[in-house]
Amino acid sequence: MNPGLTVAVIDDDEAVLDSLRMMLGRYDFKVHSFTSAEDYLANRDRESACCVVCDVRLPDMSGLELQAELQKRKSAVPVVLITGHGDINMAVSAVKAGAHDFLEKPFSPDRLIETIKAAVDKAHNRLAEDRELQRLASRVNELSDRQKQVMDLAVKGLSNKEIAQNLQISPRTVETYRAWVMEKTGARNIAELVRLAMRLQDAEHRLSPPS
Amino acid sequence: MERQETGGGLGVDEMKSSGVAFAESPANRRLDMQSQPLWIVGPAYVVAYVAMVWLSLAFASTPFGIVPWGPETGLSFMAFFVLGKRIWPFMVVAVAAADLIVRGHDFPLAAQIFAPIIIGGGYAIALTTLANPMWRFDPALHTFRDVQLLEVTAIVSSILIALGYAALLVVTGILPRAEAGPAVFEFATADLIGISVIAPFLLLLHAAGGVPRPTLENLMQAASILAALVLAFGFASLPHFRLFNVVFFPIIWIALRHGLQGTTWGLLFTQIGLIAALSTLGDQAGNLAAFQGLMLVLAFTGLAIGGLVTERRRVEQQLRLNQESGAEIFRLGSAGELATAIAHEINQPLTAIANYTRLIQQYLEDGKGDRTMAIEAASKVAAQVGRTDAVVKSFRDLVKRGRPQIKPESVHEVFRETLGLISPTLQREGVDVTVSIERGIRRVMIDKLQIEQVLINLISNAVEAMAANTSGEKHLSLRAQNMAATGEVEITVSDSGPGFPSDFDIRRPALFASVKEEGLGVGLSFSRTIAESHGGELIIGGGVDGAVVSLRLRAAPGASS
Repeated sequence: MNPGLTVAVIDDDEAVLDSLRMMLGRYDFKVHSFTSAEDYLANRDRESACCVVCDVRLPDMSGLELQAELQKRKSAVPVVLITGHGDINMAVSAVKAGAHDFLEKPFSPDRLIETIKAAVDKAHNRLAEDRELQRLASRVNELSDRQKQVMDLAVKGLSNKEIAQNLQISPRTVETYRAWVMEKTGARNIAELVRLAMRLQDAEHRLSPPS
Repeated sequence: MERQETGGGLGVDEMKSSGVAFAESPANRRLDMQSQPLWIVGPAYVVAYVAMVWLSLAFASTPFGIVPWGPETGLSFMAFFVLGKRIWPFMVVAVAAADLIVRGHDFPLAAQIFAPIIIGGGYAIALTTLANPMWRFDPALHTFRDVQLLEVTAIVSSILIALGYAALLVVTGILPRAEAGPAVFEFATADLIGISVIAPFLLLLHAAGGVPRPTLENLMQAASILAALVLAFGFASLPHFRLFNVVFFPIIWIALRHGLQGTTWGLLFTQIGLIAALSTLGDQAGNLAAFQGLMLVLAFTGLAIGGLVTERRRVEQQLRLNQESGAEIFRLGSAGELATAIAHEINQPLTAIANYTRLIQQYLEDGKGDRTMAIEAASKVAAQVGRTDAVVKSFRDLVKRGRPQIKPESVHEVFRETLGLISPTLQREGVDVTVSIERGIRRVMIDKLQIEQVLINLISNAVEAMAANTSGEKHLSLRAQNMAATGEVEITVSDSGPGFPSDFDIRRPALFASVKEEGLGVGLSFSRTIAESHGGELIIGGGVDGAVVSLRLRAAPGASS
């Protein structure tokens, strides 16, 4: 049903943990269960999960702190928080901080499964998009400096003639460079090129290595 | 919103319609003095002040109106806290009136004008300073620290004012410069002793709401003070001054046994006896000032011991309340925390049950799958149901807390102890409180600790509800009355908060969706359970201008408390 999906479940309540392990296992998830966030962090590299289901209230490191830690480590794994009564404010701030969703205990098992799937899908899409952008970025990087300058100006809406004047090269050369740019990026027209350039810019912010 | 009827004999509307407190009623032992109009209480205070000066002068009089004790200053201290700051102009007027009417000084005009300003105004400034929230002074003298604050204020203000008064008398030529030193000492001692003996006595009498009925032990204590005084002054051949020290024994006995309130009675009794003895013996007695100095030491010692004993008892009581109430429950308004804890405790097994059930359902639906796993899941469901049951049971045990010890208890005492425990919260939140107990209120058949917990919980709820209206007045009233028809006593807690929502139903306290975010329903539901376990009931009512909760309890057979 859900082949290959590995889920990490973190809860300090043995009964909740055991029931989730059994139930999710029955739905063909591969489940790794942990009783603390620290335990998960220590073992997550060995067998990485597609999704983390984590109780908000945990001894020592809370679900919220785990979420922040994963963010800090630039982890793309989506986090679904589950919460007992009274932790809603905490869960809301976790979602604002980037957790995928939160469910209030007691939740229906179906709802949890749907949420996990949605989280994994979203993470997949995000990953695919990131990969595509990375490909695009590396292709743009293959362009010469002059060609990149032509691309920047073209994206700003300048005509070939204006670009030629700006860079003090012949309009003819500009035309050739521009054709190269379209070829490398795969953009079919100037509008598409603008869109690609914008996405690249966004991605640069997001994917820049942690400082 | 329609107002719900809550009272049997007395409609709640009647009480709330007065705006601030209840409607005045002869049944109220203590009226809310702060809300009485100034033109009544001001002159009343002046009359009482003049009367006290007259009384003290009737015993012993010396030149310049200096008497060895100044009970009227103690009265002013009490009046300031009971009637409110607004009384201060009357403090000047009272001194002037006493000078004119009783003392009949033929002082120059300047002295007649400035003496009341120095004395009345001086104490008004001292008391305003003491009442500054910075000091967190509680006029009901709840802690030893309050007693100390009162004494320090008395010492500093009486010395400064005595200096000012003596200077005035010297400047106006009434008092020879050479006599100024001893005069300052006598002024200050007289006022200080008046404050130390009278002020705590009156403040505690007001806080207690009445005169307690004396026990056999009280009578023995009074007798022993009398015996000590007779020993000291009754035999011409014995040294009076040294033997007066014997009075320390009964005072310390009283302080250790009855705390601050008893001590104030003992000191008053001793002081009156001392003055009677001194005025009877006249010059034979010896130096008046020296006796008053000793009396002052006696007062300070007694108040210190009494204050410590009272504070220690209060702490013990609070500890007992916390320990006996099981664990976290009811620790001053913690019903909300409790609701969260219970919700969390129950939601864990419920989550597990939902998951296991899903497994079983799936096995039953498609007929295949793992039968062993389904059986395992079913047994685990049973275990989790047991766990939920245990949570609910322990929750109920917390409320029951073993066997309640139901016996006749005094409503006065229940109120006093409850307010003693919660007064820090009330002060912090700036809530003013009116207490009204019907004269001749009957004793109630209760487990005192449980009912005090209920009252603390109700008061905490009221305080929390009122916390929202920051602009408006925060008023809480506690009232007790006999209900002759049913043989019950009704205790009513009403507040000036927003009241209960119209659809609030105490019979179905919505555990996790209540008026307050944190679960008022639980606290009220506890309170109701306790009330019903006492054979009484808890009724909620009131309108948009405040909530009213009435607790009806069985009255003890026999006379009133």
